[in-house]
Amino acid sequence: MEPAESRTTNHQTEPQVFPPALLELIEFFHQRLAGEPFGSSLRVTAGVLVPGSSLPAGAVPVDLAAGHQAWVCLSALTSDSWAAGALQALARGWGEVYSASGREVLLMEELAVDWESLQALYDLSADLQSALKPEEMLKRILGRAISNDPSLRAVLLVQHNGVLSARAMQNLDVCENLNPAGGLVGRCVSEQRSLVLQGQHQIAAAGTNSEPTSREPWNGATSLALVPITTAARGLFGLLAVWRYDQALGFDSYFVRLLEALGQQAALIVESDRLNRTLLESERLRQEIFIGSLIQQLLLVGAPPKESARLEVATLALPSQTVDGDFVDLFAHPDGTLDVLIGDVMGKGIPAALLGAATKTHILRALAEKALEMPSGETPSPEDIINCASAAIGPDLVTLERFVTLCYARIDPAARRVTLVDCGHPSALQYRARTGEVLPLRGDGLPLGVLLSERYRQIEAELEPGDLLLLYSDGVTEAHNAQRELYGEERLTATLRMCSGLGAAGLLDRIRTRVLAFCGDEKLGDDFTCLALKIRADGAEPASEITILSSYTDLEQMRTWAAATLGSEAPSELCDEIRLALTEAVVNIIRHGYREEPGHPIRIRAGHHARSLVFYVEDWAGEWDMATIPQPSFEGDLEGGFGVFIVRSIFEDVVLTRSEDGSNVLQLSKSRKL
Amino acid sequence: MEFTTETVSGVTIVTLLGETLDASNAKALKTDLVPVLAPGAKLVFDMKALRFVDSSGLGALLSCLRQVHSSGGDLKLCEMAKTVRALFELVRMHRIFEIYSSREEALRSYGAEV
Repeated sequence: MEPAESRTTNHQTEPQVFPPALLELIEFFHQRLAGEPFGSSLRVTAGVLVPGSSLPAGAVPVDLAAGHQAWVCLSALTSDSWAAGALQALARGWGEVYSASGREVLLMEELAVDWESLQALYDLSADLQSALKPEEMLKRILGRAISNDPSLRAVLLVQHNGVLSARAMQNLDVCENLNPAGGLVGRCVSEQRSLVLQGQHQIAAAGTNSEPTSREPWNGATSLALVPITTAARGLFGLLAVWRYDQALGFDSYFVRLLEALGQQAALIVESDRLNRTLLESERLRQEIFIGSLIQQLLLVGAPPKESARLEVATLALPSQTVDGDFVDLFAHPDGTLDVLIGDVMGKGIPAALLGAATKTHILRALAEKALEMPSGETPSPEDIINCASAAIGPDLVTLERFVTLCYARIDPAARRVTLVDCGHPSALQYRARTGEVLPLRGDGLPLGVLLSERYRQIEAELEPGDLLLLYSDGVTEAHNAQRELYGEERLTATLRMCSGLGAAGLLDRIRTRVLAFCGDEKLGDDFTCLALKIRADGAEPASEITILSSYTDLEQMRTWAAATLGSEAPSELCDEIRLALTEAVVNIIRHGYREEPGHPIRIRAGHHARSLVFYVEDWAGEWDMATIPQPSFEGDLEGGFGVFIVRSIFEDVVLTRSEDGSNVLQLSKSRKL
Repeated sequence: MEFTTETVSGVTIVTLLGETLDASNAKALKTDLVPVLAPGAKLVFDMKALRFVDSSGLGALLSCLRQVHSSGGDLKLCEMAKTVRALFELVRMHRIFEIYSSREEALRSYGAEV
């Protein structure tokens, strides 16, 4: 996180800027430029450009939604021509990307309104879900309008650039573009109601006089039904016309209702098509560096606070083929607590990604607002923050028919406690170093955007040094292999248990490799986002366990750990013996269990027993038994085989068991002698 | 592991410079020592730097011993730390190796003048 002073927002003059707001703008620039020659001296400032006001010195304008403009500048660096160039380039990139994305969000909003009205009006047919091309679907709709009666003609006219042009026709070859203000069309449009006419004379006389009706395709028809199609978002969308020449049979009101419904359906198809095209266009944009970095930087804070005396934090994000709405954030508080946020917006595409960014912004705002209400130095509770953010973003989500699952957790290393609010997100997992168990931290909150009246409550759990917390998105557990088998929470739990000693970053690295190995050639269908936190041991208390990889070079690290675990009061002979015996046990696992294949975990845990020293050495090498290793020779004629003998000589009790998740646990005990 | 060699009155003294001889470096040491293990060589391994030896390290030393014995030479150890000595005793290798507390004693055991 960049320092707080690099962010300047003016809440008084800031208009309603739908995502991303100024914070995101700053983040976008900051993240793009942070690694460059500025180093940590970089300060990005942004503000809303109020109409009529002038641009601050050295700032560049940036376009936001609905004609709003913001400015961005890099403090104290404006004289640097490279910086000025970079700033200009980023401003252009941002503008391009943002305007394309903004259009889509509006489009989604429009469409959601249409969907609602449509569903009430007409039960959508299976045609809509089929993979037909839009022109083909429109033609089918017209086919239904004329019930495939060859004596009927039909046309769908769609308004575009001020004229009505034919998008689909039945039993008709040509249709000229029509003026929406003239002829029968003009009357239908101005009266905003369906027209049903019978007899050539009546049809000819019915049009407005402003323009001759000769160009209208139904010229000379004996019966005509003309239905205007309007949508809430666009007003007049177009017209649907059905007519015949040979019979004087008229159209009844039921038929007109059917045409109205079909017209709405046609509108939906055309709008979906428009949306798809825009999405395709953004797919192309996405290839460009700016959108890539926008999505990534907006949704995933680059580097978490790495160095903390008490916490080790790591994040992992593997984007899928499509842009998803996964997001992660971390907020460090002055009191030493750390808030972590992980969330997932239902759906895909840039709109989902931007909703993720908007949710993040709302949560950050909720945090800031609630903090103002608190006595100084106190931090608002996670449930207050989420309830406040939910009140702000919930109605938008409901309108858009989208929802967001998230988990907001506060880690208090001093109080050794985690407090979290679960909004329908996959459960956070806690590895307890003391017992070696993994427990899910499950709340019962609904996703944001499901129920506006939902009150979110926080749950709490104790944390101890060595404990690990894993927060993840369902892209992790729902990653699947070619047999459509899911990776699942069980496998993830086993991986967490197995690799808990590797630290936060090491754990995430193992999760990544294991999930990708599980998936094989299958691509990740969903974003893959994880956040891991490890509670560091205090100086006084050594970590009760260590995980090393199956490499002989890791032995020294294990011995250092063993000596620290035993403490400085332990007799040095005892310390030497334990270090030797553990080395022998681990070497056997590497040599005979993993057959010297590198990269497999071995976990060594010290038990807490008053009368005896107990160590558990765990491996995942499949079933293998120390007993199969040949006995040593004490005559000097064999070079190996002493390992097991040494382990058994030093530890009085050596028990090998297979755990439920398929690991081998070697329990080594030795009574404490004074 | 690095080591130095010097010859005193026909005895080659190999000073092992590492603190640790375990599974991570035993094999490499065995290979590196091959040129030293000439037929009939009289060898002393000075182990005063070593703080930790495991059974793999012991195996490497045993391998050297067998090799020099088979060609009519000998290998003696000296300056062994207490912790290392404990391992040798645990697996009774103090009965297989000749172990001297000082380099001089080891040299004298070859009849060399010190």
